[in-house]
Amino acid sequence: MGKPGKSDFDKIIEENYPRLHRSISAYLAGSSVEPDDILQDTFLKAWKKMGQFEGDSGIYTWLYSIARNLCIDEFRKRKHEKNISSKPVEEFEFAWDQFTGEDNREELLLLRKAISQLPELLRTIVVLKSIDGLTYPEIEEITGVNQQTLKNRMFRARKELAEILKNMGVDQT
Amino acid sequence: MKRTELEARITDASDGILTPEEIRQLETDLQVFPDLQDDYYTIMKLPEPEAAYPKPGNELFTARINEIRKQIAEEVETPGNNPAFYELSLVWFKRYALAASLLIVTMTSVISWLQPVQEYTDTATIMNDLFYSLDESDADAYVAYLDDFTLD
Repeated sequence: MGKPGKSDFDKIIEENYPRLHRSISAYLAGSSVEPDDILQDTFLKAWKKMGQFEGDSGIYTWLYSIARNLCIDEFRKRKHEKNISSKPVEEFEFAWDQFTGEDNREELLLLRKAISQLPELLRTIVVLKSIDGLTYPEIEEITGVNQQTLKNRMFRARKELAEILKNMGVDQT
Repeated sequence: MKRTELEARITDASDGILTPEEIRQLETDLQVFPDLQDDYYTIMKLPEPEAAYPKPGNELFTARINEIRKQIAEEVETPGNNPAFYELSLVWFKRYALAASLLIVTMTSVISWLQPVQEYTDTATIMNDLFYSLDESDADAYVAYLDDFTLD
């Protein structure tokens, strides 16, 4: 596929909105910033900047970069609010959640809470790699961080995640 | 082997991209770093974060997608809100700013090079032009004064 134009934009929204929504929801879990608002601004901004999209990177990674920058701007605006979640676990649920059982539900909500407590740099990598399934070269496009550093950050992220889950009393044996 | 290299290989292992042979080698290498070995076993037991966010169905977002399409349509219809010029300016500026500045420098150099240069041969005239260019009579008076002064 060549460089997409504005005429392709309807299709771009339809194909990327659900995936981006899932990823940004995971990234924003625990903060008071609404994923829907971020996504609306993301697609409007992308539509306005479509002429600047060179097509060297994938359209999804380009959209994700815009969304992430908007989230960071929003965090800066709301500096007085701590980025780390203080919400009850139940508030990590989304309209599209389908839990298989009560035990499973509790475990998954705790895992979401643990991910939300990671620092922004580490949370971004966990969301992009483990939840969104992007490759390290694609994550490099979004974050501008080289792959070796990304892998070391992923190591730190998993280590911290294990520590947070341990402190929450989640059994990992 | 450096710790950072081992950390990257632990990440590869937890990403599931190492072969059984590579995993065996990693576990051997980790024996030199007991703390990293502990981290390795802890990380390998972590639940997969992907499980925490099941994939939603596309139909859930129809209303939101339509809302965005509507907003884009409104942007297009708003008079004076045409992004084409703004976009073009930015893209063209980035692409052609260097070429344009080089062209301007070259053109001004060529023009100044082609212009005839006024040549001075008489150094006394040059000095007079430089120092007493405005009022010739004052210059003459001053020279006469100096002559008188030295003769005395």
